[in-house]
Amino acid sequence: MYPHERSLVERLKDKPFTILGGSSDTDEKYKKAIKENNITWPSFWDGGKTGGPIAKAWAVRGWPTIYVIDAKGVIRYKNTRGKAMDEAVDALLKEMEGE
Amino acid sequence: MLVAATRLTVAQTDTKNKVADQISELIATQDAAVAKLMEEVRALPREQQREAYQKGYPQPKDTIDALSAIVRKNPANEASLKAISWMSGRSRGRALSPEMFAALEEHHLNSSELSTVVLSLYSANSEEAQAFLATVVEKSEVKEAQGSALYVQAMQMERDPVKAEEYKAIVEKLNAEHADFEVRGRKVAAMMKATVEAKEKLAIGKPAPEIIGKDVDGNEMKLSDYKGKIVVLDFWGDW
Repeated sequence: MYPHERSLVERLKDKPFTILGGSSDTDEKYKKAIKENNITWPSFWDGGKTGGPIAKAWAVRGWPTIYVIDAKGVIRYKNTRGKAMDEAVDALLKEMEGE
Repeated sequence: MLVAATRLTVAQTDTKNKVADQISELIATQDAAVAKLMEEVRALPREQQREAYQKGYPQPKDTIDALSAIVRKNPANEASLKAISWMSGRSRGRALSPEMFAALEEHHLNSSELSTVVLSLYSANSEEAQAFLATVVEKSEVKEAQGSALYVQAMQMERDPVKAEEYKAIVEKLNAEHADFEVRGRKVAAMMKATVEAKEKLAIGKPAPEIIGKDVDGNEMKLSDYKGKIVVLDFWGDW
């Protein structure tokens, strides 16, 4: 999944877009994962175990869990992965350009 | 007359015990076969264990057929409930024929052991299983069994968006009437309610709740810092 997300970030680097991660990994695993997978976007660190406060507030019960939020802060899509994630983000970008 | 009546009672008790013995023996034989296989599998190298287990697994079909036949003839016998419970546990409820559900509804609705059977039905979605769960909710006098049936109904609906409203109603009922009902030591009614509320707050079209957190280096970060940008919030785990 990381290569796909990396390419999305790369493709939209000049657009009002970001990925924000949320990680339930332990400190070391999180750091290692960021380095090995070349994760360039920011990530919330959720206390090093599953069921942390952020995961709880966002009803995370499996991984990955994905929310797509528009520029106004409204939840617009849930659990879109791969191609569907790209399409969701592109649709929101188009919507912004139209306004 | 009195002598005859006594004899009859003795004969009935004999049959009753015989049925219980037969059921116990069938179950013990199958369980012993599984235990023996497990022992053999554990002696093998790790990479061969899975295949050996699957290949050697003593299929419970014959035992289930034999137990079902006994239950059909003796539906009211207490040991029949034990037989049904065992069959259900081995098959997540799928091995239970309509007659097994009929036996439960007619003779075991108020047994204190009923909840064990009910809880094993979480992936049994046959019409009979559904009807049985509804009957337990409506008619069983055993609170534990009622709570279990509501819980299983809810679990079966949880991932079905069409049944979202029905699911919510059951969670409400569990909270109102079975707040103390526990599964594996956890009070599930409150947990399910919290999940329902969280899901409603996180529905498409709702404002994203603020996140105030830190990255792994301890730098503070907030979701609202990214307002004006499209955000893909991605909970990942690397294991």
